[in-house]
Amino acid sequence: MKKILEVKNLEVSFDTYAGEVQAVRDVSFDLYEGETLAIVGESGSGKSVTAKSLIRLNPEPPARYKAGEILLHGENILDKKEKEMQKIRGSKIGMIFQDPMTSLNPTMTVGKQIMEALMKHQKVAKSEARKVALEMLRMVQIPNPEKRFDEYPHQFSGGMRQRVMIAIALVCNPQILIADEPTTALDVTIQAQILDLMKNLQEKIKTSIILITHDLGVVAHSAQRIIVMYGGKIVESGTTDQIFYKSRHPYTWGLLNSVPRLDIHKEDGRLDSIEGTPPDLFAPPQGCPFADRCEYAMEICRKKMPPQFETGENHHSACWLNHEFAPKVENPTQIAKKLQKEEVQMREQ
Amino acid sequence: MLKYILKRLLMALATLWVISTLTFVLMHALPNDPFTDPKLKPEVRQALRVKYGLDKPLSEQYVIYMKNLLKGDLGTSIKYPGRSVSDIIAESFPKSFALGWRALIIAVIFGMLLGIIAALNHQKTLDYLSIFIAIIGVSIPSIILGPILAYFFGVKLGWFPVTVDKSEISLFLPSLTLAMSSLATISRLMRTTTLEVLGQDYISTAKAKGLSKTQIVLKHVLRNAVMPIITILGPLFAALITGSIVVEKIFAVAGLGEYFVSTITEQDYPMIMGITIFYAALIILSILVVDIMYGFIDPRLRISGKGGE
Amino acid sequence: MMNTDMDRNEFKHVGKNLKASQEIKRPSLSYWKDAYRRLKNNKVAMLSFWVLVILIIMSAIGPVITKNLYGHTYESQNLAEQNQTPIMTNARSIALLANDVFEYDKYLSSYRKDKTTFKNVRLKSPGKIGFKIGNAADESWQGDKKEYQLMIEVSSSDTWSSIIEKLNNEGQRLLQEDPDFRGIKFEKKGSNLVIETVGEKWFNKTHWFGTDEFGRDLFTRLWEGGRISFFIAFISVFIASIFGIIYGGLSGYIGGKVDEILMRIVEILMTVPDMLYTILLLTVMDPGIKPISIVLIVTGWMGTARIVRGEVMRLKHSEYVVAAKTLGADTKKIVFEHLIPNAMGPIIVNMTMMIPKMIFAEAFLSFIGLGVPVPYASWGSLANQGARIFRQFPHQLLIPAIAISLTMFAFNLLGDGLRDALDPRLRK
Repeated sequence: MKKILEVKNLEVSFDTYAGEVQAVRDVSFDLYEGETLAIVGESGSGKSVTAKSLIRLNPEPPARYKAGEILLHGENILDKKEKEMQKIRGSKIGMIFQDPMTSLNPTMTVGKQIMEALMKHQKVAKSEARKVALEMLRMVQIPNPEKRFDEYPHQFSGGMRQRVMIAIALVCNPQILIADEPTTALDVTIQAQILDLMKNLQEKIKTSIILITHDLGVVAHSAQRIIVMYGGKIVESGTTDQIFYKSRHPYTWGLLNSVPRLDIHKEDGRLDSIEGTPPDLFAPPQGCPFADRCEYAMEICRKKMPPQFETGENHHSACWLNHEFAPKVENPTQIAKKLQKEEVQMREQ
Repeated sequence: MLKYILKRLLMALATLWVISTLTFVLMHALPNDPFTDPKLKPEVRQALRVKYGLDKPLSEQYVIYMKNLLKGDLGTSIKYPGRSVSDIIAESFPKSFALGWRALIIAVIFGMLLGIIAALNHQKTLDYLSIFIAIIGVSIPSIILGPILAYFFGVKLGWFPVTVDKSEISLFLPSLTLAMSSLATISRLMRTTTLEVLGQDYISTAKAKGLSKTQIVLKHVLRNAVMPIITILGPLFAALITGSIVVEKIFAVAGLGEYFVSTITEQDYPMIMGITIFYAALIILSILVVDIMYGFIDPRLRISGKGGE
Repeated sequence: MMNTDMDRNEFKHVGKNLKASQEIKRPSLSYWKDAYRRLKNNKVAMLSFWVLVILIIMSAIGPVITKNLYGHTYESQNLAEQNQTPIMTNARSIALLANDVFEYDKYLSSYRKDKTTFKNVRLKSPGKIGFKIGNAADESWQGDKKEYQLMIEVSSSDTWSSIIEKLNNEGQRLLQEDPDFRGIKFEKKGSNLVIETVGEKWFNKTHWFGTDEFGRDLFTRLWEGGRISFFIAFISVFIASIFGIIYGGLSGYIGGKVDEILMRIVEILMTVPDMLYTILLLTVMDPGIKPISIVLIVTGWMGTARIVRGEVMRLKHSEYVVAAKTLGADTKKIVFEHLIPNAMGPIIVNMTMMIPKMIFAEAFLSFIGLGVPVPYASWGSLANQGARIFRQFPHQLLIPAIAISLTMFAFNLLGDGLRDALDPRLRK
């Protein structure tokens, strides 16, 4: 598979009145053609800043790209001038945002907002652009597109507005679609619809998707590969199967255990959550950012940042537990236990 | 939409009624009347009172007053006997209007420009400069600004003629003086709303589409930032009217404001009442027009016919 | 890469350290302390604050100082000392007596007429040129009642340079005859004739800000005016705010139909331009400080009412109000002890911004003759007087103008600073 995007050792900080906030600290990953990559983490983990960095959407000041490269087809995005970025945004890389209620201009018709994206990047006549925009409305499954074309955002429901956002982002057939928490503000039933739509369109347009979310449930449904971020760093990365069933990082374990599941029975009937709060990015800890909240923490965890250990084929975990000196800890998640049970059962048969 | 317009119309009429009644009550709350000149003989005084209907009981006077109002008759002036109030208004108002609409254009156009420039250069020099100009406009009342401008630009530098006639250039200084405080208010408001709009999510969407800064400002920021400005246009008209009183005195313009001031000192009751109601009606009318305009511009109102957010 | 130099001991299990992860790295401040800190950091707002403090202190002690030093009061007149300026000069005035000789486009002069300029002079015909130097009426300036006549004859063979020479020579002659003349200089600058008399300049020792047309000391009048202007502004704002808080607070809290009616009333009353109503009301009342204050109160309470109502409605459903209710607190207690203190932020900002509006309103009323009665002075009436005589004696307008503008400027900046400081959304 072709590599479309390479992020290498990205460091992004924000200069605020109170000092430097290190939002992204040495993040590296690749994106391949046609795949869906999920970036999972809680608020403050740096996932949104990373995503916005791909199209330099962070306001620059106060954002500062301290180090690293973002290579789109070999060219470094961080070196490009603003005018060059404008050519990339919307045409090569599209983005949709979290809150559909506020992401559309309330005083412009929905159709015009789609056409705008098209006409900025391609020399087409207005009539042609209108046709294409109508087609996009159809593709995102908005009923009665001719009528809806001239309507305003406030006449659409949340889910429909998000579809419009998708239409705007995809109208120029971008190679990459960045979806920043696209379903967080929507009802659960609508969430599934939007995710299906995105998958559908991905097959048609052959675009790669970077899906940012804090909800593992969403990820299981849509992504092939997952990156888990915490405290500005990548703590684990791998395929969806590897992360769900064979995770090797305590933070991921915590996340997995806190997803409510119908098929796993818990004795006390309570939801697990990870105790504690994320680290202060003004003065990030020297060692592993998760150490203070980790029940498996060792002395070295507090002192030194763990490197990325390879725990499987293209499966990496930044955790000292994977070091040969560390005690052997089994994956404690319910999912892993369930899988074990099933494997044991299968072997017995 | 129709419902909205109707509602506004009703409010306007109700307000107008309240104002005319209030004016009437205030003017007649006095124990004395305009004929307090001790030189007047009692019989003459009584005759005058009869002539102006001041001898009838209050309730009757009120009814007559309201009836006349509906006919558009504002009574006759006491200090300019024989001339009806409406005539005097009709004669002097156009001069005030000439200053007024020019001031409005200066205030709106330059106010908006200044505000947008400030917002786009947030916390940089241009921003502070425009805030400074705005605060000056608000802090230096026309009472002070007028004579100073007239002296420096009119007398010392000689750029502008000293007296005001029909020529465009002679109208400039008084219009500018009148415009200053409104300009300051508009620019401050424009700056605030533009900053708010710039922080909205849909601006991120526009940026993510690859639009240039100019395109974003023109197509997405402007339309949304202008809307709150429209809401203050009503009070703005009121400010222009009261401002005209001062400006006309300073620049010796024989407009309605001038008349208003002199009738106050001369205690010419029909004139005072008449001009007050005229001004009030003007303001109410402009507020009504602005409200209706707002209904057309904000698509949320236009389509659902209900109010705002 | 690192296996060999790793110490097995470092892999000892230590577990969670929740206290560290929950420790908030910056001390948390209460709302008011945080607001105070933010305000203090706002240099512009703090500067404005101190400027206002100085202005208020001066209003209090200014008149006392001059009373003790010179016996000035705001109403004591001395026509012999009329229209003095802060900087005095004893240079004599120049007046054109006779002129057969030249034409000019414009005549400009300083207000003391000790420097005059004739713009674009052109020779017309021979004849006399004569000036009157000095004026008996300017005794308080010149120091004496002397007047001089400076006359020359111009013939057809004279050019401008010879005329200038003649004029200067005549001036020299007068000076030698009488040193009190002090001297005069004629010059041709380009196409203009510039004349200047010689004199000394000094700061006015008895009247620091000069005097007005009746010889009343402006320094005293300015600060007396300050007392009145500040008094009217503060009292009106204070009382209007109290009405507004009560009206708005109750309306917002009770809600429902009552609120709708009360707010409709306010809406209608607010449409009425307050200027018109202040004018009308003052016409029916006798002028004075009390009526002005009353009028300003009547037109000022509505803005506060609206804001307070808005805040109360916003806070009404917050948790601690519900908690107070369940504990049995009654309406009045909830409104006064819970809602209003929390709405204080916008109320304070509103009050700060109202003061310049009141000062302006008072100045406006004085300007159209409805202000404080003579001989009291307020800044507005001082500005009014000064505006009339601005061309000759600009300081009489400029001094109260600066006082008014500075005050309004400072209150506006302070208000802005307060608004930023008290805005809970900006808490970091």
